Amino acid sequence: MSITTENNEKMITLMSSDGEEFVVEEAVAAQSQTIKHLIEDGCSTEGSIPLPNVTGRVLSEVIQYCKKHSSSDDKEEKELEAWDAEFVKAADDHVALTDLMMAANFLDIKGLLDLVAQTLANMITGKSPEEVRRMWNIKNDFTPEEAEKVRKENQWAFE
Amino acid sequence: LTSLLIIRQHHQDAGFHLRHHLHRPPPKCCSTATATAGPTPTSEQSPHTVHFPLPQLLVLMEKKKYRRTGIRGVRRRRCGTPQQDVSDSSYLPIEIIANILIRLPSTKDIVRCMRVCKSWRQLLTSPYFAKLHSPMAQQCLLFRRPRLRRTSQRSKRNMLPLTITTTTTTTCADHDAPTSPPVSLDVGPKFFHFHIPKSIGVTLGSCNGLLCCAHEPDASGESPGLRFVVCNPITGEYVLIESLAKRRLGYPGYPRGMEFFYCPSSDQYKIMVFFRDPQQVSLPMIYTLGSNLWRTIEHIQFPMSPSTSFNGALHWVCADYSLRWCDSICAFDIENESVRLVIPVPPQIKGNVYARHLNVSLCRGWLSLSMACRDNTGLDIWIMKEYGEVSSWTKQHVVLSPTVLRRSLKVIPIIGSTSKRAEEDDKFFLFSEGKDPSIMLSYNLWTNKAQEVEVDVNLGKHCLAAVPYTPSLLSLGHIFGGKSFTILK
Repeated sequence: MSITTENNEKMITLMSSDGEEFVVEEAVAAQSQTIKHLIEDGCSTEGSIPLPNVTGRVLSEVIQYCKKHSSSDDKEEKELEAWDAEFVKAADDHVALTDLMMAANFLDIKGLLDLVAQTLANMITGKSPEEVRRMWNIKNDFTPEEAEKVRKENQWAFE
Repeated sequence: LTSLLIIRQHHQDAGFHLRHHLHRPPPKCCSTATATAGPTPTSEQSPHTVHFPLPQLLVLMEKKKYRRTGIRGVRRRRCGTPQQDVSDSSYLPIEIIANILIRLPSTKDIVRCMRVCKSWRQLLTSPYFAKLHSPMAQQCLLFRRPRLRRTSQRSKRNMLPLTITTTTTTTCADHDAPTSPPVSLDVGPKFFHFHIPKSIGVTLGSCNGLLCCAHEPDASGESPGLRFVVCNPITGEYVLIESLAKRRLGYPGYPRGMEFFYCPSSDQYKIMVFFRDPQQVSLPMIYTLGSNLWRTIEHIQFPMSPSTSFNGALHWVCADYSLRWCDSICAFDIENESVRLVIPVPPQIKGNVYARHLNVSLCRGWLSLSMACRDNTGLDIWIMKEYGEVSSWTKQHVVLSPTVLRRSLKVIPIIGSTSKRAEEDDKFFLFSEGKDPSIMLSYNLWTNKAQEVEVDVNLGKHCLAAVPYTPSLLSLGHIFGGKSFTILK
């Protein structure tokens, strides 16, 4: 349902995968290209927009980001950067960041996607393959011979 | 490659379908995404009913492989309840992995990630990833060191040592900005060696992470002709291009200049060399990588300086063979393979500067010319603020200490800044070439101060050349098509 507030700001209801509803201003929600397209197609008039891939916890973070970035167009860039840094710091670990990145990818919010991807990349920097595997529970599927071959091919990177 | 392209296509389709499904009346409970998708959403039969575009990307990309490789979410997501999977970090779509890994500041880290698992390796060695990565890659410098003359290892005697590194600059005292943490320095192999048999003079050209070395034949004339080596130091591949025999060409002498460039519209890499005919007129020839064919193009004046790519054209200082005074810059259109524009040099220096003393580079996003001052006080940089407009040449003087000038025969700018705005990035690297120990300088155009730069590697005192270089993961196999060329590792 689209509700109009006193100051004529159109409101949009977003529903997370676990059924939590969030009422946000259209300008905030439209930071997501996915939602923007849905609004343009007239989906928002019939009720809440379901976001089956985003949990309430992640969605609230995403909305927090969108709110900050939609309201601070003319504010100083540096302040926004500092806010972004705090924002990813608050997300705390790579699991939370990965969730956030998946949501940003699905919702198509470029700024957030870039921010989180860069943060994750910085986390990987300097890590050994084993440490990277542990980060995301990735199984090492190389046979010992294959692993040795890959290592030899790029010897310089492992010195 | 094609499969990847198809995947992208499908991915977009999937995005469209997602929207389409959501047009229907909104679901009442949270997991109705499957309900809107159709009664029996078995993934194999109807990929379009998947409610989320990314799993589909994976499904299309060799289903079986990914199930085996530890990225297990593909299967689970589809049959299970989606809200549980979101917090499960073992589910990582390939697009997300790629998006993270292209941002790794050092190419070394990317190469290290190839050892994580098979699917990562497959991704990182794909041309798809190389293309994504190339705009993000950090520009660094490549140094060529003298050949190892005395070495016990016979196999190394004829190798050309190359060193790739970024540079460290000491914190600039004029900036109030807080000291930034040191950037990772190892972007490439520290000492990358490869064989070039009996090389005498080697010219280096670097383009999109590939290097082209012209291997000039020795003076005895016994050499079979001019050879080129194209290599990617990151992947360790190289291709030897033979066959530019001088007898076959029918022209005396060896080429006077070489350019290595990339044409984006045709996605081709090309080598251009300049021969001179009996009348001392230049005769340019072009070789397209993968074609095995040298062809002659229209007459262009000899390049007298290394070229700079700008606005889709290569720019170099030009002069006729007999005429050494420089009076213009040639803009060679990469796409049409012809001279697009001849830009006159500033009137102040026209006719009284040797062409070989001038260098073309980019300076704050403008075309610029640099030359050592006559009175030995530094370097003059002429900036063309309006492209093609002679009256817009503006001079900027760089003061260099006499020690720097005394040490060098020639000071050449190697990396010009490309941004017109960013003040802090507004620097410019200078490298002195000559017999004396080489020196590297960073020059800030904003504060008009030059600073000596420490180069992190054990380069020794002598470097023969420094070229700007951007690491790339592009495999030569994709450029050469792999048939008539041997890719050596």
